[in-house]
Amino acid sequence: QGTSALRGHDSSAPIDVDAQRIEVLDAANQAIFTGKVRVRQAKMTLDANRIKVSYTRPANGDPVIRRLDADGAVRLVTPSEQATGRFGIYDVENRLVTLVGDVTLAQGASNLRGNRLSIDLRSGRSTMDGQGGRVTGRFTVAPRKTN
Amino acid sequence: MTELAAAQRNRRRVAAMPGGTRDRMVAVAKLGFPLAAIFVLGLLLALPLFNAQEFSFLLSKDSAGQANERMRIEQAMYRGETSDGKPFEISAADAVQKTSDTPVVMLKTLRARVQDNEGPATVTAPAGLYDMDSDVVEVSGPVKLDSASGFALDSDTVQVNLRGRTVTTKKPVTGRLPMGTFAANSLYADIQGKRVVLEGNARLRIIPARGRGAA
Repeated sequence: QGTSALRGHDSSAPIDVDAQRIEVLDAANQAIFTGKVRVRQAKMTLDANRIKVSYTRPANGDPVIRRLDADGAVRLVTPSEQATGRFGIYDVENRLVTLVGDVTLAQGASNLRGNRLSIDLRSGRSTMDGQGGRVTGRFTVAPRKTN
Repeated sequence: MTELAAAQRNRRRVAAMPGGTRDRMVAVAKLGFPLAAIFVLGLLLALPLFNAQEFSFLLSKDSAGQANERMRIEQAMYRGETSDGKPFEISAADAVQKTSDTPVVMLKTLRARVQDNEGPATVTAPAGLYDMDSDVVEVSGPVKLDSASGFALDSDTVQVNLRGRTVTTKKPVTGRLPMGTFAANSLYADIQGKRVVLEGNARLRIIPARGRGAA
């Protein structure tokens, strides 16, 4: 697959999140966005029904965003591709975007279907697993990092 | 007896003769005294009637200066306790309670302050209505809320429930959270901003810490 336009994406650029409802639970260092949620950071746009943002907050100062968990009609739009899936995880610390479940990827001319798509924001490399059912057997779901 | 004594006795006898000065005096008195008594009595009765410069006054309700409010306090200060016993105070440059049956006090340039373990949280606004029964202040005009944890908001009207230490507004609101700046059509939050719910075109702009994530 081609390299994504997200190569060199600045994961600490400001993140704009729009939603119908936002619930910030400072004690749990979480913010839950529901209802036509749209996350925009630099050239990346992530839409979903519900997104949970987990962050850590040093004593005083800007929050460190750790990850975004999106579920329900997840759609990732970048200048070079458009992908959809049931779940999406944007691991900000490791600069990795992963879509899982009935994933489709439209990139340039190619249209791929699979179970899991991951885009490495450093290299811009996107890899699709479990393509069109041809790949059988060793299908491993990335261990969900429990932090 | 000497002529002097005899003359004096003679004068007295003449005076005592019928028709003498004594009789005339008695006749005059007999008539004059009752008349004088009647006259004085009449004077006594008539005097109050035509006494011109009467200075008694009748207090008329409408012309008396009417205070149009029940209670007015300058530099008012209300103190109370939140439901879990934390102190709060509301100070205002001017506090007016219209009537005694409504426990609502109109405040001008007010400042409500709640103290709890996270530190102080203060709400300032140009005007507000403080309901003394429920300890809710309906503040209006640019409301500023600043709390120790960095939660701040600007809105038109905000209901500040001091007893429950919550802040709600149905009006568009913008503000700041440790996590970033926000805007929404309505807001419900505890006064320290530990839990903030934004609804209706809600937007949160997160400014992540610089550093590791940079390209």
